[in-house]
Amino acid sequence: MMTGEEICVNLHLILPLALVLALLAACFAGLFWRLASRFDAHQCTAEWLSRFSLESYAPMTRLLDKRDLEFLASQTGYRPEIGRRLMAERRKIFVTYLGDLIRDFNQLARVGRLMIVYSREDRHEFARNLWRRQVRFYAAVCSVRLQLALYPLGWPQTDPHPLVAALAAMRSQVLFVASGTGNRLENPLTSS
Amino acid sequence: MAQLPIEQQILLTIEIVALLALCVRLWSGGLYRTYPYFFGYLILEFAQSLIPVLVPVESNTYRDLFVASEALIVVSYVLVVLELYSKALRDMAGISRVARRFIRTVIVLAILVAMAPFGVEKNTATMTGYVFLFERVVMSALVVFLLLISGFLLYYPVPLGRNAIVYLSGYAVSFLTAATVTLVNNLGYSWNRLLGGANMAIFVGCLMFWLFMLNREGENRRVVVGHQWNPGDEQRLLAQLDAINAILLRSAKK
Repeated sequence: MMTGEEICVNLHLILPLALVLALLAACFAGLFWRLASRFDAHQCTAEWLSRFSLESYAPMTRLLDKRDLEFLASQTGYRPEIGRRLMAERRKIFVTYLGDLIRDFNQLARVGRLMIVYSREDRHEFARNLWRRQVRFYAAVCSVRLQLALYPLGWPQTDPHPLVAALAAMRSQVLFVASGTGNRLENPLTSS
Repeated sequence: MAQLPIEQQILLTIEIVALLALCVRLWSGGLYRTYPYFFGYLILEFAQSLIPVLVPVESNTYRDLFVASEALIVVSYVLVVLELYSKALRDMAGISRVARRFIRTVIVLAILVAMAPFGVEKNTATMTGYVFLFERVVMSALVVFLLLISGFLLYYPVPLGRNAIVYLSGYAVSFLTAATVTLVNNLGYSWNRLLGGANMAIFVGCLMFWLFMLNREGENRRVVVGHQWNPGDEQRLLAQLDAINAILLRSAKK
């Protein structure tokens, strides 16, 4: 029969161990589930790539421009709640654009990774650049989300230009690699 | 074997039968040639499982044989994991350097993480204690290695056959269990019957999983679409990849 002190010592060591074990098991389960469903043909299609255009994000760069609000405030009959409602609606639209931008960026990154995996040559430089661009992009997304959250409290204008620029850079990178050596994706079925 | 608890006797019997069946399956399917280290590991496990049948459990001979076989099995764990990943990343020229660098980093990280619990483990300064400590470190490092390398395979869409996923899943469960049980033992808790039984049960589960899921057809390197291994989707995917490439080249020439 264990003493109270032994039970406390056991819990002190076993509980963290059990938590770590549960966390590892959950990570493995998630990883293997994702590994078993890797390439969603409905997501990364040539049709999507042919439709993709940076122009669709042009409105995003001025959605939260305070000049519109200043103009509105200068009109007769303006009330502050009109301005607040306008900016709230624009923030919602901005968040929708942001979601689409993130999705498109991830799609391009996915295309880039496909090109790396099925390339006949080593693409470590491209892989490294791709990784760096992703890290910078996600850091910029976090920054924009924080700015968006602080916007109602008077935070200066949210600037989406770095995000759109990152998307443009990613597209350019993928195009450059595709054109640079006439890289043809290798048939994954005959490569083994 | 009579000195083992009754539930462990039953589990040991099932384990012996399952190991034999799995070896026969790998042999008949020709998979022993594709995964020789895994086949060797199964044979070692089979040999070790016969020890309590042939030798009294309370004897020094049993202890020595078990510890020696356990050391060999731990080494074989490393070989089977490296065998699986070398096959998965074979012929992947595009990520060869990236994969090599990543694996080197992961090995170092895995060993460092595995050595973290050193301070709290209480092992006797005997050969048995050292082997269990070695086992715990290796199993923990393999768990971390499996986790990070699986993440790498997820990040880069490396084509994996169904067998590879089946092996990975079995290894992950088996190593995680073994590492946990060995760590708890090394912490000084004498829950041998409970942990030993749990470890055996989970290992038998892994053997059954491999027995029913591994086959020759699972070796085809396929990119999996959705959660179904559908051969019809492979041609469509191939066409998609070619179309993507064509659009990229066209866009680049503008």
